[in-house]
Amino acid sequence: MAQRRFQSVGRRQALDEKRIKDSLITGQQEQLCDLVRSALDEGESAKEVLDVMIAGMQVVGDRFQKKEFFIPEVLLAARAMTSATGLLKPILAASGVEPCGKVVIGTVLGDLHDIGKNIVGMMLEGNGFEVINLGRDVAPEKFIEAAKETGAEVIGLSSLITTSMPQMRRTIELLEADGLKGSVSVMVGGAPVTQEFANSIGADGYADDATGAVQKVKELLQIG
Amino acid sequence: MASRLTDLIAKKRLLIVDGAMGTMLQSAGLGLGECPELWNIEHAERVQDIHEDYLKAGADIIVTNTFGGSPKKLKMFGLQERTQEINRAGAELAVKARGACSRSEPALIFGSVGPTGELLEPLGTATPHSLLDQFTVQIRALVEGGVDAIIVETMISPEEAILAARAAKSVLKSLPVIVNLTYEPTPQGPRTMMGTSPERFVKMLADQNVSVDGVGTNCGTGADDMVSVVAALRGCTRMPIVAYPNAGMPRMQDSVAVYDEAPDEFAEKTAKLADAGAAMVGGCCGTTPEHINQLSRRLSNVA
Repeated sequence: MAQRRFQSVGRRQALDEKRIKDSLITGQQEQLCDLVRSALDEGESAKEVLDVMIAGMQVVGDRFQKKEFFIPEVLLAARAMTSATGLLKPILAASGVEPCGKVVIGTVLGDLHDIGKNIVGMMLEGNGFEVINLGRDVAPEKFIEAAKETGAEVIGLSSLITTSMPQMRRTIELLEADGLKGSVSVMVGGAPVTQEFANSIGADGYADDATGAVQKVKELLQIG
Repeated sequence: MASRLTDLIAKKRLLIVDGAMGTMLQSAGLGLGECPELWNIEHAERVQDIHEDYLKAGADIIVTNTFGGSPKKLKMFGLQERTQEINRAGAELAVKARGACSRSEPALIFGSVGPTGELLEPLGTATPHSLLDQFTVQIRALVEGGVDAIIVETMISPEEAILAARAAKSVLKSLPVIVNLTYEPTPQGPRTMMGTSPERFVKMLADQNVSVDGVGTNCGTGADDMVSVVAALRGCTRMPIVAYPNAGMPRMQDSVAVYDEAPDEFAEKTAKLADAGAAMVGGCCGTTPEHINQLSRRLSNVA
């Protein structure tokens, strides 16, 4: 009896894993939440369900990087992910599962662009990170404060206009002055930002899209 | 529909659009976090000077300094209450500049309408109705200020671009409207960040019965990557096509964006957009009156 039950759960689990991934990749929020709820009802661990969704989000990231997916597909998948993760959060917190890292993100002072930075934030969340999103037009001091308050390991700076890019350098200088350079890594990105620019201002990482940003944060935090 | 725009295209075959406004304002002293459109009021003479420099460089079309003039964009600077004043002033400055540079064939003035920075439902929270309202307020002021046509520029969302075009026609049915999207090269061909191809956009316009007077592309890339966009549009529409690329891609030098493409190189590459079928060519970010001057000279020599 016990044996049969185990097998049947095992089969369903394999089936649901694919369906969970697929509904995430196609951005079907309600379907995904239903599947997550029934997986939990059937005794799956929240951590395992989360890992399946993270794998799905990585597929979304890959397709975005290959330009098979564009903003709409990524946003819908990320929204489904956020909403399904909401179901898991209380359980994860109760069982002591920690996020794999904390990242403070924001668009720098003088820059009012929001969309690209938000996509990076959602992709990071989708990959198991806790994201503290400070919004746009964020002063250098605010980034440092938020990193101190939350104990974030990474600050992600976004700039979409060239005139706001010097604020990235200022943030790094301030971090140095505070003696935090080294313990908090700084990532930079945005349309006009390049690897050369990142090097020239002493940033720890640069990525040219949201998927690359997730990979870079993982690299910086040495997460496999 | 007869308009000065269609007449001029028929007569001259190829029209030169002006170059960058934003990067020119920065060189003129526009500071970090300042609202570029407010310069239409606070530094009107400098904006007018830029228009006049482009007219002297040979531009047939000048574009108003109202790219970020939607109420939503102005709100980021606490200026939404001044939407009407700022856009109207932008149009009037271009009219004044045209008056100051008399010539046999007066230039056309395109009122610039850029993205609101909001995403439409279901991706974002903006409703079609709210965007339509915003564009209508902006475009009405541009028309009051005297623009000859509206250019909807640098759009990545085809739906938002279409709403701007609808708003323009609702303000004045006879107002010519041109709609530009910004594309990037992908393995499947040019796509906007929303995944829209040039062909798909032209089909959307037709399917939704949106009447526009031209389609095109600007910003995002240099001229090299724009050739495929113009070719794709040429393959699916008979409407006039407009294309104005950046002066190459920006490179950062000492925290300042440098567009490396020199005027002669820019002119040579941008002339190929005319060969590919564009009826209006000019420059976007990083271009200067000298870029437009060389482009204009090259194309008038060819013609």
